[in-house]
Amino acid sequence: MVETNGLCKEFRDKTGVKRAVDNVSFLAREGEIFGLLGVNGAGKTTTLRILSTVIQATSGTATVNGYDVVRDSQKVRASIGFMSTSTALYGRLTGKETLEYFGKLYGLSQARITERIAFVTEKLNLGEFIGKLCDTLSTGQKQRVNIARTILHDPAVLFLDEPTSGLDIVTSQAVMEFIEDSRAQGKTIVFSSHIMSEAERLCDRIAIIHDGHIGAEGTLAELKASTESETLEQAFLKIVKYERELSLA
Amino acid sequence: MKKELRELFRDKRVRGTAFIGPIVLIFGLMFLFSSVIGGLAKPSSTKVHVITSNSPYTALFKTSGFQIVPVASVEEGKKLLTDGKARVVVEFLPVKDGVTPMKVRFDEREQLSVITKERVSAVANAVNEKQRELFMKASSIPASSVAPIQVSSENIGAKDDSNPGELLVSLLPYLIVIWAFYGGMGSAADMVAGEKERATLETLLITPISRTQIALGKTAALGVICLLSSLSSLVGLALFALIKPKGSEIMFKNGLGVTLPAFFWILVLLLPLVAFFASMLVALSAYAKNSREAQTYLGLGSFIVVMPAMFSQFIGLTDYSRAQWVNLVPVLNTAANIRSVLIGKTDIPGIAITVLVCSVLAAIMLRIAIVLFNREKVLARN
Repeated sequence: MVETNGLCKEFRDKTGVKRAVDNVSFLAREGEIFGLLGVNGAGKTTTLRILSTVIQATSGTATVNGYDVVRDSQKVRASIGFMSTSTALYGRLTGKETLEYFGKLYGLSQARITERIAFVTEKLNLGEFIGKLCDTLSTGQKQRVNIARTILHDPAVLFLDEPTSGLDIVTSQAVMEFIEDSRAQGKTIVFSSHIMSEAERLCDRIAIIHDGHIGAEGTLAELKASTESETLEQAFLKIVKYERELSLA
Repeated sequence: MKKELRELFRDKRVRGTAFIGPIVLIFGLMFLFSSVIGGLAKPSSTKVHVITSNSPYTALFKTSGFQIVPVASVEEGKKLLTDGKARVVVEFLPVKDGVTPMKVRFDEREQLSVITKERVSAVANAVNEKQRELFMKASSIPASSVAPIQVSSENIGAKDDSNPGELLVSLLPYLIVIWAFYGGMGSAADMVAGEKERATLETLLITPISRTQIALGKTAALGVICLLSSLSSLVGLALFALIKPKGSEIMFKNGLGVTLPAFFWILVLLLPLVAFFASMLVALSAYAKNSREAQTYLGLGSFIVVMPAMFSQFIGLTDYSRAQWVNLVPVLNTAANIRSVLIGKTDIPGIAITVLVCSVLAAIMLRIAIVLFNREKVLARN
């Protein structure tokens, strides 16, 4: 389970203070895919970075798998898997070495590492290229190794930040199947995207995030009904437009 | 650390700059020095231009092993000097009052010309000296009447041929210290700033290990690279001493001269220094937004190392080599103590102070690196 309460994050630069995340509160339950839907720069990635303890919130609280992201940050990190298309692999390590390395970082025993590598190799069909240096792999192969790295320690919570961005249709399909499979295993998944079709297909509940704060939240049906829209895209645009008018007023 | 080292050793650039580079460079440098010094030391390879005359001394230089090149006129000789085609032009003027005036024309802007002038003058002075001795003997004049002071010298330095030559003593400490820094510098930019840029660092930040552990792991791996790189310069020298190319005997009169105890003390001195360098490199790389910015910071940081390291080459020519304050100056203290070890004057208190100073600095730099790793603004920015 992932729960946030009034999460805020401010960044200070030469031009002043910018609030990237503004009073974000949501609850993602076990066995659920919770979508954060928003345009680029809406605050999705910052929210996920706070939840994965890479950065700290300016105010507000958040718990992941029952652990506070500030007080129990190490336990939070042990409970999560984080993946995005921008998280890269070590080019001069092979796929297998990468998995072994991260297995050790997650504190798995050698026997468990061997067992999990065998599991993810079969599940994600890595056999052909797991022994090759990551620098020599195709984008699709790299993303599969990335997925393997994310789930190697069998985390209870997955944070997926635009995981299909820039991928071809076949690899995107494989990633989405992996996400659905993870939900079936009872994992809590927080999924960020700006692709409506993916959100429609995957998410049980969606929060539309714009300019750092959540404009609307609900199931796909609830969002459509509340905005009197036929598609998620229409609903999204109405909510974003409404938010923009509010901010201009 | 294992992963860092595995990655670093698979990087061609690291292998090239940190290990192969020092070996090849030092070997090449030594070869060049040997050739140059060898050339200078052999009179037969030095040409002396002499204005054609009837003087019996014209052949003087030939008997001393110089190569005589006859020149028709003074004007031609001056032109050869101006054009850089002659080092010196010697002219024997007509005998006056029983003395043959010898005029040596040279170009003070050319170092080789100045050196050759000194050597040519020495040949003539030797003839004068011999003549004086013969005259005094024939006239039964005691030597003390023209030389009231008799100079003699005694070398109380090591006579067991275990110490390296003079040139090596001034070069080795500099090379060992400089490569300890530059060997790691190439990898440092990539290690933290490069990882930020490629977003691989973020995958580490979301694992249960602490940021302090990440900083320590990276510093330890870089320390190993710095140490191996520094020792690679010794390997380059050892190879040169082993292969003994032509002219090497001038550089290595007593072989490489690094004895086992000397090697031990060099290691003792190097360990805290590489810890200091590695933590400084990691801190600078952590502070940078990307590898390009890191390279700029590292370039500036290298001045801290180069300045005292360069001074260490000349410290033997000054009174500072035995001064206690030298042990308090980072980098210079290590180089100066390595020098003392190499000439067989191991200064244990000096080594102790040096190790202490470098260890304190390493601890401070490591603390800074850890603080930077734990600062969100520094580590999570890209």
